Amino acid sequence: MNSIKTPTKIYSSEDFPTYLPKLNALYDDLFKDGKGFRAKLVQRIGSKIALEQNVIALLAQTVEFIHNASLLHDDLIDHSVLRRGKPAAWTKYTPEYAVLAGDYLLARVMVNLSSHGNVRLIQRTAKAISDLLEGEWIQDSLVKDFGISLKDLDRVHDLKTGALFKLCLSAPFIAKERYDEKLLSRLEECGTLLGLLFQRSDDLLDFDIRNDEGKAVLGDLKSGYLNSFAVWVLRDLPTSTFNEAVRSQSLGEFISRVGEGHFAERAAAFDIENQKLIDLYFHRLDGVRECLEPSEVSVIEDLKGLPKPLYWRKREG
Amino acid sequence: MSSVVSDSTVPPRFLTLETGDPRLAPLLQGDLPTDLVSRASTLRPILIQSSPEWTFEFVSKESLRRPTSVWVWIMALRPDSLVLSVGPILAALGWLGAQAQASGQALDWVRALWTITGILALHASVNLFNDYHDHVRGWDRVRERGGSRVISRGWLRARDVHRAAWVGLMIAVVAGVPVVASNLSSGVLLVLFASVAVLEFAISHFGLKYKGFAEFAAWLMFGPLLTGGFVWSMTGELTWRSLALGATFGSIALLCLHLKNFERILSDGRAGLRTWPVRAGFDASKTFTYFVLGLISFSMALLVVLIDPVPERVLPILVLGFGLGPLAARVRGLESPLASRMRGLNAAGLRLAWFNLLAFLLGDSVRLFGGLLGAIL
Repeated sequence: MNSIKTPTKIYSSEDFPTYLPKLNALYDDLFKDGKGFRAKLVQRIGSKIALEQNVIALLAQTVEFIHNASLLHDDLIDHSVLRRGKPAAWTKYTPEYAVLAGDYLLARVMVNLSSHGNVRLIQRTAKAISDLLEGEWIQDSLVKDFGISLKDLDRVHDLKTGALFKLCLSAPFIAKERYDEKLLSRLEECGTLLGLLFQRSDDLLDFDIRNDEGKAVLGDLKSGYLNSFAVWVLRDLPTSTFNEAVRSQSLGEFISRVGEGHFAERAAAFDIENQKLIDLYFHRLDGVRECLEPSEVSVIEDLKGLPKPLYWRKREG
Repeated sequence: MSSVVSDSTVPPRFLTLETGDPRLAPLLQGDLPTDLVSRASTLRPILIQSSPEWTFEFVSKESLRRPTSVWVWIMALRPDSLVLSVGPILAALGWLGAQAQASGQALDWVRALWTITGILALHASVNLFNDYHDHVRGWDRVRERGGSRVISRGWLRARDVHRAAWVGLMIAVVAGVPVVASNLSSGVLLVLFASVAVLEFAISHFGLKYKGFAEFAAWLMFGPLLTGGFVWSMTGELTWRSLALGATFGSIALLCLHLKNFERILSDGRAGLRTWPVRAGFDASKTFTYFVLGLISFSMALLVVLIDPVPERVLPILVLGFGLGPLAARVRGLESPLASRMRGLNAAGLRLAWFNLLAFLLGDSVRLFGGLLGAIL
């Protein structure tokens, strides 16, 4: 997907007025080191189904703005001081500016989308935003709850992470006025599965597994949040071991408390469990294929390649 | 549409069928076509959001980790909630027995036995119908909690569960005939109870649950209606005492049902189902729980002080005294609809109901067999 041009932050001339202090600097910082994965996904799908370039740009900006708005708010909520290896916006520009900047991005999404005029697209986008916020809200209410189950976490992640993937997959078709409910529901199922895979993979990074990006480890656990991999590893352990493990302050401490062998065995089993989700994703893609026009079918090959970078963190090609 | 996995690198593992596919109905019943499923494997419906389509997973029977058949059927009958249906009858019977002994009158134990048999069979039937209909309507996939889930786990065939539900209903009808015949007026009340129970709690015919009224229906049906009808059929009189006894048990049933729906507030809310907790909201549902706990205390106080003032009733008071506080504290500590402490709320309510029933029965046993506790006190 690297061949696709990363969307610029400007879609309309009214985006990011220059007379507001610090606004442009904040957004430049925010967008500068992002991978733009979701925007590229939208661009790739949009171009494969022959969507007009300006609409592709609008959709790419939409998903990227929503994603970055969620990061601005998320960092403040989680008190994360680093984002992409740099000071988080709320630490550099004040919490007030971080909140306003996130709100502003969401507002620009609605302004630009409504100027396009596709009401279904606006509705779908607004739904994605509200799902994402519901997920954030519920996740925040689970801090320090160490009895959470993987099933329940999946429900949070379907809202928080899956919402945008569902939008990425369905928005290009809605923008093309393809309102086939069967197609859209199958795409959204695929989005759910991609969201879960991405989140579970992201949770593995917290335990330094396939962490090529060098993300800080054990951040979730130290801030009182059991992520999906932590739940998977700690499941069925004796209560005393469990209680000790959740109080770990370093990854080494965590691994020694749960046992090195147990940790490795659970990590391997986690991959097997998630391979089932990948198989299911491929299966549902077959259902998507049945709903596509012959000229659109090539998009399936792109979609088939997604689990590789999303879960296994491998670059394409 | 039917699609089996086509990706060449992945073995066939899933099957998706649309609602109109002629193969869906037999599959949902558990009749697995041999061309799709070998004898060593079965199909299990799996959850992908709330898709209108059905996706099944091929599962080897070995990996199902199915308990023994007897245990699976016991689970399907949901014995844990038996306390809500048979409990009020047993409590009323204990009370009647103690009264009969005190007054030197004989109790019609045969009629009581028929009633208990009928209620037991009805309980089994309602729960089996409920599991069956949840399964074929696809609700099992949406709500991951609730029900015995013996069908969705691949442990029992839906067709077998459906047959067993009908058998249960037939037994209930047969057991009900002598009770209705002995007292037509009270019999009508019990038949009304049975009909509403089957239609509402088995197949959601009236949809009371989704209008937010199921809690009230539970209070009425598993409370005054049940105890009043039973005592009426046994004595020929509809008394305030029997209704007051029912109010206590009805309030406990109300608590259990509310906690059950509260546990599912997120799933039901997301699915657009308007249960009472969804309508009231998370925080108001917590407040409503305190109200119900208060209602239980009040109805128990009413029963003990005004209706049935005997020393043995100190036992259920002790049970409630020790049980209500921790439950209230647990609810007070809830901060999230997915909080781990939300899981098992209904089970906690049912535990309280069981202890309460045991305390009632123990007290009545003491009254029946010598008034030992009364002598001590």
